[in-house]
Amino acid sequence: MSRMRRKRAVPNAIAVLVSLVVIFPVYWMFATALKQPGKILSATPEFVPWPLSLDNFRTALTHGPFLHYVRNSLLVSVSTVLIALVVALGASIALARFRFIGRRAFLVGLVLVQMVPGSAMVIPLYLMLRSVGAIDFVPGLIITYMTFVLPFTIWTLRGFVAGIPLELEEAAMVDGCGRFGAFWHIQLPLLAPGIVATSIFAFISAWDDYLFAYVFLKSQNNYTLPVWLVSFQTSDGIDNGATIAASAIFSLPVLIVFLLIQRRLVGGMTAGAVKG
Amino acid sequence: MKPWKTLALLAALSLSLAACGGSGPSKAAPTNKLTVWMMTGGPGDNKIIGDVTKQFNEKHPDVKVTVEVQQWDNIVTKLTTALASDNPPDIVEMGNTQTPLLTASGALADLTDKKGEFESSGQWLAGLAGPSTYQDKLYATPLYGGTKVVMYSKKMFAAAGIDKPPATVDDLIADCGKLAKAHTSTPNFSAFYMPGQYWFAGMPFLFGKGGTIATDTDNKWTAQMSSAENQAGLAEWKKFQNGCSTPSSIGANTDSPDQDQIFADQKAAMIYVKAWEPGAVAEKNAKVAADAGYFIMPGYEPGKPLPVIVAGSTIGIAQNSPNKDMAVDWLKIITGKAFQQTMTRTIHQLPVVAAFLPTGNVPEVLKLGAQAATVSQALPSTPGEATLETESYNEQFFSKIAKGADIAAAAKDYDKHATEAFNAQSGQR
Amino acid sequence: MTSLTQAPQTTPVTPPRPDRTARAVRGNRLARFTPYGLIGPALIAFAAVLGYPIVRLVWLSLQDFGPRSLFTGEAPFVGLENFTRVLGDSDFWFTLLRTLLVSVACVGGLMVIGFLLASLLMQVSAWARVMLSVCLVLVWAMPMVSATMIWRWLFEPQYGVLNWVITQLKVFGDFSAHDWFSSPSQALALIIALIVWKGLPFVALTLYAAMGQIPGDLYEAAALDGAGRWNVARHVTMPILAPVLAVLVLLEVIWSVNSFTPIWVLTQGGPDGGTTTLGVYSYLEAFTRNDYSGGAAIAIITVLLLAVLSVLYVRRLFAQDEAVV
Repeated sequence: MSRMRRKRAVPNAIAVLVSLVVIFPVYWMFATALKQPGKILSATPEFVPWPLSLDNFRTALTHGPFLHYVRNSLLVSVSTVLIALVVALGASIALARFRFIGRRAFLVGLVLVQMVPGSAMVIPLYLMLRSVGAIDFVPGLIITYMTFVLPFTIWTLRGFVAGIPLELEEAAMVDGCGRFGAFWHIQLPLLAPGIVATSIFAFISAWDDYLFAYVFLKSQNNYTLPVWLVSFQTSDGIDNGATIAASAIFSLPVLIVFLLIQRRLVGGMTAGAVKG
Repeated sequence: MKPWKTLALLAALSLSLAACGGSGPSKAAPTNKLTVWMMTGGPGDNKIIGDVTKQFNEKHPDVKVTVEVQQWDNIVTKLTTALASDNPPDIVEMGNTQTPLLTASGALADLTDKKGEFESSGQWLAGLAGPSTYQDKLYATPLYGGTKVVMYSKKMFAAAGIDKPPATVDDLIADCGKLAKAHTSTPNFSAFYMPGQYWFAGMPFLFGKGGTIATDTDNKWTAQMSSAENQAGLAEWKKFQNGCSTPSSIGANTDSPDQDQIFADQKAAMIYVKAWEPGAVAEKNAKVAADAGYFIMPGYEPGKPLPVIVAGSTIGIAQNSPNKDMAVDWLKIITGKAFQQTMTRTIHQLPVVAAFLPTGNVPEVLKLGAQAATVSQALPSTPGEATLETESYNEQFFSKIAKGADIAAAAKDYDKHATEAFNAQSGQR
Repeated sequence: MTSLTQAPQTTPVTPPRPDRTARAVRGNRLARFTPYGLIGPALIAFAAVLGYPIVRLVWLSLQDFGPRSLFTGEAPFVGLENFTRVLGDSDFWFTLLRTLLVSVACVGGLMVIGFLLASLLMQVSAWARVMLSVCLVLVWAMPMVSATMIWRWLFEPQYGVLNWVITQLKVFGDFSAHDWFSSPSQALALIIALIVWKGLPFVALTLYAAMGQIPGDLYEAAALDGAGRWNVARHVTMPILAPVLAVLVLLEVIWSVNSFTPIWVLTQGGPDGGTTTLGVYSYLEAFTRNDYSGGAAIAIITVLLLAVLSVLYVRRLFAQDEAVV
């Protein structure tokens, strides 16, 4: 056993070092946000924020109707995820398990659509939303995000479905389950990690978007969090402390969710995204 | 959230699939709401804006005015798309360099007939009135102006044996030498911290030599960066930037790193400031701010300061607004002398008419700013100026010169790029 | 953990069984319509949310559409003029070249470092594995906007903490006042570092998951045959990882070519256009030069270029497809 331990000492040491390097910017964000506003910029950096101060958070949270923005962001992101999942699940099963006319065209289309640079879609989407009167309408954003999230979600889920051994399904059908029963009892539970993983992806794309939210939302009450986040940065000076604190607040929910499902994520999810 | 609205939206979406063209927004009926978009750093960002609404409500008691503050980043895109939609904001503030783009695109209502109704509109600051006019029609009114002056540390000047502000650019550079010598122990010290991208500071060096940015003949713009005057000015800019400011400032802008922080940390004896910056310094280090003095950027000869760029904002009414008449009333109040004086006293921006400047009890930085604004040059009044601005093209050009680029070659590139931008009129090619 | 075992390259693990599956599916009459029922909602959604914008994008690229057109609704049809103008501009070609370099650097960096980290994860003790993967997951979860702001902050002249760290190393000299953003090559280096740092978790964890799929007895057999470390990597690990690597490379190429936020927030494509890549170029054309059509044309050229690059991948996908379904 001790030979084993010695053999692992070097990789472990490297892992510690790598972890420190990789996590540093994340740490620095929180450390800076917790400093006193006047001590944020200093020529000799203070690596431990002391005394701790919540002033930056206070400034950030009192900048506009924060809870409103949280609500809007959640509404948009969660709806995007739910709609995308419902639509994508069927499509991914069809693509992974069946052959039908137009299947290849659809697959190629999925790949192509993901290649369009996001910023190029601003004007086309704007024209579309305007023609139906959905500018400055929070659910209008859901449609916008669907254009990016849906192709990726179908693609990813398809990999997960393909990963479920066919034998299981066939066995269930032999047992008299029927195709739907087989799906409900066998496939869905096995797909759970994949669905969780895909949801996270979809959630982040919607949660993270600044450009579309900024251009398509007019009234302040309709803003989402990224628009709020950038609002600390103006050409008339930046409130650095508040910006960093806002970044931290904005990152926190995603960080927590990721941590909670960390095991799943590392275990299975990534595989689905890149299934050939 | 109303679910039926989402459903209706989805239904409408599927119906609209066939229609590729998409028409302009329909005209809406007048409402009893007035939405005003104003920018950070201006009067809309301060509680004094309530005065305007209060006065407005005396005439229109039933109208609810909402003022929303916008950020400058990407504002042109946001303004264009918002103004082109249904229910646009009724009134929008914009930067003076962005104004020509919006006036040329048809986003703003024609105010030519109303011009006489605005107080002292004949004496508006040229740098703001120019961009508000397009093809001899008025589409916006000036809102406030801004110039910059030098903020310096009296203590550091005294310690370096300098007893009065410099009278010429050469004096200034000589003073920089003295200050640098007195602070050799301060790392990265700048006698005059001057970010290389600070083109508002750089351009005056060209104006002082008699240069202009571009000329306009028969609606055809030609950028003039290669002129002998401009090239001489660029050489002076480089000499000044390199001689007074730390090398790490060559690629910087005023925000990153924050020049007010540098001044507050006593790593610079001078900075070139907008009217609100002394306040920002005071927040970071009250002692340094209290010790500060101000002077106008000197010129090449004593008594002839460098001509400055008047920056600032204009404010206009959306072409698609159903409430144009009401909006005009609101504009009349905000551009009127009474409010302009309140604004000047509170947020230290210049009033739209020089004569509106309140007498007595005005901070030094503002008094000097108003004085500096009397010798100014306007920027080319074309949508292309907004293009250069959004590209940060001027910023990068001045930074490049400070870095030591070949002036003649860089100026030639500038002329090619800027001429193209100034004459580009997308949608009308 | 099962989803990776099926690819044809993994023949030793799961042999393909095309015949049985095909029969099972064809046998059921109802099944002929099932796929259409399943994919129907997606098709409708695509038509609704993607159909119009994509068609409009293509149409936009053939028009002369600027801010004025938003108000008047008028935009003359100009055919391929936008494309000829873009392709005739030397800036475009420089940008293309720069984009290729940045993408190669990003994807190369991601793959190499990702592979090394994945191997590291395979070798360390449980506690170290949890620690490293938690760190990676946190980086992954950090929103790009926040990450970019922090990055700028870390490298700010005079106050940037990483400049301070580099100075303390006493190897490169005094970096405390170093201005990374005034030189295109250094700014690009920071941008690439940011993209690699932010993309690393996805690559490393995916490869780690894939490596976990390789049966241990394959290694034992290889060891019995006296294969060295290099040979094991080449003949055992690589072939099994190949399909995963292929998809990763494709995704990362797409993402890095179209990468926008990191560059826009850090440098806005400057100084002097020196950090502009295709994703930013399309945005600049559309929203700073206010030529929406030009921006659309650049976007379409980008898609075409990426499509050409991915032809190989798609062919491989279909080949695999034959075997799996």
